[in-house]
Amino acid sequence: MCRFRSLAAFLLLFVATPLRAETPSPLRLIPDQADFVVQIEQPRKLVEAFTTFELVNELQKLDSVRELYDSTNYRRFFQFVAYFEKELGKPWPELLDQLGGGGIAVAGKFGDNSPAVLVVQCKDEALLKKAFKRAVEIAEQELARVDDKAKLGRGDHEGVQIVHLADKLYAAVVGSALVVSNKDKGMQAAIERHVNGGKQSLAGMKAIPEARKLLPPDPLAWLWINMETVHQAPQAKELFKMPRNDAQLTVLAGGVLDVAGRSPFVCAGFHRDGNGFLATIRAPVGRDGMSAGLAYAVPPKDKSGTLPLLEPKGVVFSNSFYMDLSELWEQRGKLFNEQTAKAMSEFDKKSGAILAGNKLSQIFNQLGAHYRLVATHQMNYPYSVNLSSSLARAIPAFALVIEMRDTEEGRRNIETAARLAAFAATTQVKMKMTEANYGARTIVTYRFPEDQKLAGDTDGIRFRFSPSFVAVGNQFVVSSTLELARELVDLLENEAKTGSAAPSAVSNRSQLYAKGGTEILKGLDDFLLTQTILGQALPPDVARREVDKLVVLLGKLGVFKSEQVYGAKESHIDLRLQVGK
Amino acid sequence: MNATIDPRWAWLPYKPSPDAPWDLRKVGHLFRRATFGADYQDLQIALEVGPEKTIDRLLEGDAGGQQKLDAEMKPLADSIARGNNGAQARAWWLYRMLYSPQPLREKLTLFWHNHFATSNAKVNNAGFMLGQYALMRRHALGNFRELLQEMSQDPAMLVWLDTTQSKKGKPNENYARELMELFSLGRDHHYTEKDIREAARAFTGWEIKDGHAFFNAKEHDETDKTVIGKKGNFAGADIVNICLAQKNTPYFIAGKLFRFLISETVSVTPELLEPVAEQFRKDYDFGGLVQTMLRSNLFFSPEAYRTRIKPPVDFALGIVRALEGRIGTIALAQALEDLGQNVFFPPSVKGWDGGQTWLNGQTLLFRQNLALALTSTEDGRFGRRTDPAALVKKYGKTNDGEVVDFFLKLFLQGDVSTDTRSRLVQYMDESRRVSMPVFWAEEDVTNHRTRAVCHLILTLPEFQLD
Repeated sequence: MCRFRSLAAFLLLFVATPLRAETPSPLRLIPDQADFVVQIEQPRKLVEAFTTFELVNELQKLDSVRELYDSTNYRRFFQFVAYFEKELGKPWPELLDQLGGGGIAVAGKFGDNSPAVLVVQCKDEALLKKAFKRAVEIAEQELARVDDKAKLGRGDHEGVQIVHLADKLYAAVVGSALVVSNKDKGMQAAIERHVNGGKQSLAGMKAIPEARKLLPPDPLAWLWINMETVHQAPQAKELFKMPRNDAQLTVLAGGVLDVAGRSPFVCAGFHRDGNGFLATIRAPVGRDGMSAGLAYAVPPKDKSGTLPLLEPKGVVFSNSFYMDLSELWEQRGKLFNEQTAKAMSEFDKKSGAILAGNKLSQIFNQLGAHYRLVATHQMNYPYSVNLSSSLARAIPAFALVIEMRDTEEGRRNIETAARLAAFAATTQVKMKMTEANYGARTIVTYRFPEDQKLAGDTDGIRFRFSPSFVAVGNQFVVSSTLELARELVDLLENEAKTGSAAPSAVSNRSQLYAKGGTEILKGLDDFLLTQTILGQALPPDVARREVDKLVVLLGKLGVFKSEQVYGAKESHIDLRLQVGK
Repeated sequence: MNATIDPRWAWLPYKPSPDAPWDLRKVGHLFRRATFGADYQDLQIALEVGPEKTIDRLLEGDAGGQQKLDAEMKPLADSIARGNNGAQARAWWLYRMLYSPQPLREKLTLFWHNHFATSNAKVNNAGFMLGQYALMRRHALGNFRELLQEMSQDPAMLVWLDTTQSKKGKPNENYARELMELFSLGRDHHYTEKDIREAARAFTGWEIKDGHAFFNAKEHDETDKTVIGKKGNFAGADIVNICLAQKNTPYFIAGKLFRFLISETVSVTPELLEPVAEQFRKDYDFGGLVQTMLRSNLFFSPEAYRTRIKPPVDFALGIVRALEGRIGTIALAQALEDLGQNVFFPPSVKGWDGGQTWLNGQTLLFRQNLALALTSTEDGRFGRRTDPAALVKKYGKTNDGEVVDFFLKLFLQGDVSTDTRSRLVQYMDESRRVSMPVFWAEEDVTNHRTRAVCHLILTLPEFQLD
């Protein structure tokens, strides 16, 4: 194990400054049969992106993190780095520049026991050779310490010496690069490309610059996956074909799977983005050429995408997505297999009996294509019962806001369905229905009696719920609490007045709010404190400070955003962390 | 073996003599059996003050320190109960075992836990389990009669042995059966299946209301029952008293304590137990019984010395205490589950079988791994919180011989052959010649050797014995 740790630490030294024009690409040593490659073009920038990230510094103030830094393994790592600094005569940032300045690439083929290769492109060949020699010496010493009879294996290919460090671990200095592979053949392939000047390597593949072009500039790291290989996998046929047997998968991820099924490659980039980070996944195909049946999930060019996110007080999570159920119903024959489509039609015929005379297909036709989900920390609790259970206290309020196509009829039918569902619930659990006026709106709400017990709910979880629904213009709100329903009425009325509901081209967007999340965490305070004391054997006052610091730190995480966009000729999913203050 | 043990001699208080001196071995033995192990200072102080005072101190504990710990841990227990967090509950108890200034009481609470073996796997209520813990701890050195009576109405026990399901006309026999077989008389001792059926009717009507035991008279069988020769309209408490009045009950309990405190290998005959069992019968003063056994000649005799296999809790906590570590118990609880002793989750109503069943190929390997994790300082769960190298520095042990002797005294009170000691010293000496990573400082190399030899000592067969 020590050997691997030392080697891993050694490899970390090969992280460096921006690529210079004269430095060759590490991709020249990777065969073009690779199914995937991850490249860090500017390794030092990646390291600095984290070391200068404010939250990392804040994290280091936690006792548990400081203890980790003081651990034996960390200390040895730093000693290891210090040793190389001394041996190679340069401080670690300079070593990073010199040893890994040309970039780092990891590539391989999918499948068990497939070859993988790591290439670290150096800028000072003499220094690389010296560092490699020292690293091999250390590996030899480690091996001798563990087993005095064991020795490192050595071989060569095309005149390049290969060191066999361990089972499935080969390393060599190949020209001005360090190459590590899990397979002898992987190492040989890299050496052969060095000898032939990079022929049949990833450096010559058109798809790579295409992928890089698709990504935002200056990624800290990027990934390319050859989807043509993925498409040929035995499981891929079932996954990507339409109509698909798995109806759930089609409804939830039909669009994404269609893109993945048509795209020659998928790429991803990891970027510094203002005071946070951006991770993006991109494909060079979009709406054009998409299966017609998938229009339910993908906003057409001439139609609106998602509505703006709703952000009531104490918001923890907000989501807005496009899903045209009317379209889905129409296209069911193209989306689902014959059996499922037939079952849906059969159910529709009988659905009037349980939907107060309305067929399911009618209701789908009355629904719009825009939905919004929201969850909030419960600022005001719907009952006077004082709950001791931290679990119950932590339960957020949540709501679904549904757009209606034909406002009045839609509202009436959906409200009828909601009342029916609520009625069915009251046959199982005692709840009282009230209709409360809120401004010009009438909110229908259900409450649990506070003076009665409910078997199976000793923690009083029910007292975090007062299921409610209300229509606001063409928006129908179904909320877990009356308080959230009221807030949403205000927000939706304001949205209607200010016209801030201008749609976007995004088909699905979500945000997670650290501030709201920390409010929920505060509800779990006693659990966190107990876990900290028992987990780390800290005195209660120290544990208290540790938990407080952690909650403050998490609050600083700001907002985590995700957006899914289907363009005409490209699709992407962006994941953004925007750190707060 | 028992033929040579004179019962009168066995239970007389041990007095140090030239033949049986108060030495480090006896001190270590006392701390292993009566607590979860000792650190170096504990051993030295006990050696100095003698057996009587040491046992007095163990019996009394540090009341002020305990009060402080109780105050610190009460909010944690409340939180665990509210969240019904079984994983935290077991860690909570291990934390108390490790850091309580009343370790004897904690150890005996563990004894009662194995006696009344109740598992949260069925109870599924951490609050009830902590309540049962509190009950057992309260009576750990108190009165068995009171403990047994209260245990019959303990919510965790009511759920565990289905008393809450036991209604008039549909009595459940589980509690009545285990009361006789496992909790008082012992298996096949003067009771019949009919006695169990009759007794079960006396325990009908118990329910749990708002987290407490509640007697519902409407569900209680008010008719006469005949139990072990007694007839009457008995309630549960009467059945407990009938069980306590049986001749074998004090022998059964004393025998169980004997195996816990004194020996798993000495055959526990009625003749041997008679003096203590008959004393115990008078008022079921369990604290008195514990005291008699701990102070006895037999306790400190060769017949008792290292005649138990160390249970996993004693194995792990003993290492931590000796190394003067302060580790979190969440990870420790998981490690102990792997070793076969998951507190609050005993395997059956009979508790842990103990003895040789603690050791098999797998658990022995797990013990070695846990010892490595606790001594290497490289394991993320425990880090440098238990560091043999820091300990030897604290006590000023520098050369190889001193380091080996220190650990042998600390963990084994020198109970290894001279050959083993020589080999350990030789190991340390040879390890000087093993090439270490060039980037290690000299101190790292020294510390590594110290930690490695400490780990070796903890894997010796002798260390598996209690």
